[in-house]
Amino acid sequence: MAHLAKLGGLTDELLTSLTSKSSKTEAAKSNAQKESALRAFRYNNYARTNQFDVASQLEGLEEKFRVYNEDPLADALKERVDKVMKLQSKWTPEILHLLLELSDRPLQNSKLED
Amino acid sequence: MPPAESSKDIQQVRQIIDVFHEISTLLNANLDRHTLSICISLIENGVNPEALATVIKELKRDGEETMRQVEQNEG
Repeated sequence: MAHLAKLGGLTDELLTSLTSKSSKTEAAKSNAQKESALRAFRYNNYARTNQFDVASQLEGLEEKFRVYNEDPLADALKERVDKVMKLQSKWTPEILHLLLELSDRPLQNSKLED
Repeated sequence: MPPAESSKDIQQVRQIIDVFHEISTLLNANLDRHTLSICISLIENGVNPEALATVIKELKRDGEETMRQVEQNEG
């Protein structure tokens, strides 16, 4: 029960963080969004994160940056990934998996100055 | 020495979030630091990353839709 409450609280924070920039949605819509998010978190058919797949996707992306002459981006990515692997957080593969899922055409859109 | 340890822990957590945020920017994942910290907490509480990514994309789509409606009503 405590776990559910914690998940609910974090989901609330996520909703506020992602929707506050647009304008406050009505309470009913917000509740529906929360219910839907919690359902997705608790009952889903996604496979567990495979750390080797994640590593291979990141290596592939680094290689793609190099092929398209974006060596500074490739170097920056490699440096950060190596660093995060050294810090050895238990959830590193899962967090990297999330970032890869959310990644939106980094070759075209990512700029090192950002 | 709990305070020293906990401040060291906090510093390490901050450092980890900083690096993940830099990776997020390089991958163009469109997550600010605060949202990323919430996502990390959700993952630490057992939420599947793919399920979380799906929810984030839906919420962003909803947010953009609401923005468009507000702009249309104002304009």
